[in-house]
Amino acid sequence: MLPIIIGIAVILLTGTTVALNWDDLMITLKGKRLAILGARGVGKTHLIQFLSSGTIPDAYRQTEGAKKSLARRFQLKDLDLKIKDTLNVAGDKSAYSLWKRIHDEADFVFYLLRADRLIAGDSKVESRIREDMRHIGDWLKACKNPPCLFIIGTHCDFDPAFSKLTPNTVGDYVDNFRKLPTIVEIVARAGGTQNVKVTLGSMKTIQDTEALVYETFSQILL
Amino acid sequence: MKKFSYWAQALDNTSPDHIVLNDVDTLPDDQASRQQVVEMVSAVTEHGMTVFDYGGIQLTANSHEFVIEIPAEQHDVIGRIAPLTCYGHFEDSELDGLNPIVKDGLSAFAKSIGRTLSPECLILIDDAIATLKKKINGRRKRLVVGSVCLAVLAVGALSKWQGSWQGQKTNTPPVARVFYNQSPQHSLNPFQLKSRTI
Repeated sequence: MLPIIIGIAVILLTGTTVALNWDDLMITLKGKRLAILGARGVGKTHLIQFLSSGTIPDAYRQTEGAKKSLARRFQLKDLDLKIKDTLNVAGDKSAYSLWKRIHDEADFVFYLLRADRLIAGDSKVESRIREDMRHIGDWLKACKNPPCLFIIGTHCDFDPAFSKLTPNTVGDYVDNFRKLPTIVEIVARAGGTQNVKVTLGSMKTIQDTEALVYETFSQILL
Repeated sequence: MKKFSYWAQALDNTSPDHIVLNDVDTLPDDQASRQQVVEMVSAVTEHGMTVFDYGGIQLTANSHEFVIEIPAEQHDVIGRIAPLTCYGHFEDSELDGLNPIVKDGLSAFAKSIGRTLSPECLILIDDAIATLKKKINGRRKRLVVGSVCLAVLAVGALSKWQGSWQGQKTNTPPVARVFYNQSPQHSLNPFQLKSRTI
């Protein structure tokens, strides 16, 4: 769970200069709580560390018990991020009760999934995503003020087609991803395209992670 | 025999995690028991104090529960360190015997799921438990010192109150003294005296 406060925001998205309305973004994000959920090995710890400190882990370790990090503040290009208490939870299905707790307290939910595995048609990944979203969908329906859901596809660098993308073909790539049966199904379960935003990217390097975070934050204002 | 709970994620990141509740294996569909272990572990790691964090071993504890994470020699399919987690409840008096039980328990759990622990890690468990023991003993000493200080303060306050009450008795207002002089057969009960004075 990440309560976040955004300072200055004029952001750059993967090669394209996009000036976000700073006032709107600040009002939208100020003091809001962000829950980061997803199966094992999708990059939750990586993203939490990036959002908490602006760095990415040197070495990776499976997350078991929920881990709390201290409040930090860091500068991400023109974004001044203040992250308060951070709770990192395990990705196993046994942790659904913890997921629900942080989901119910959140204003924004980032659900991370392995986009590369989904594109490759990995049935185990599809099945796990459906199961996660069955729960998240129910939690969203049960909430009086449901959080805004973001589906974030990670590990795109493992998909050979991703590295060949040009500014002209990025749109088609994202559209094709959104048309995948699993994505169509989970978006519908979570309340349709009006309530769910989908972003895609890689977190291989710090620059890739920055780009993905910027793209995701920009979706908040759309 | 002390019973602990254990948790290790699957190395393929898709199979169910290995979870043992109070020394009994849980089945993948026994979600209640599995969630119980996850919640017990998470309550300690979220709210407890990190007592030891060295060589990949992390020990977190609150007043009577601990969670120790120790890295196995095997990594998961994406190259991450795959720790084995042990959760236990302890009384202060049980701290001396905790070390061998934790080591044996973790070694048996590792073996049961086809993992191995390095001898260096097993040695570091000694250090981790010794640190926990030191912290708990320190806390116990602080509690004793605190209780003694409170008792001394309470005795001091009581003596002071008694002294002031005695003083109040000897400095009885003149009206009351006159009253006594007029009625010497009256009781010297201070409560009666007070009521009459008022």
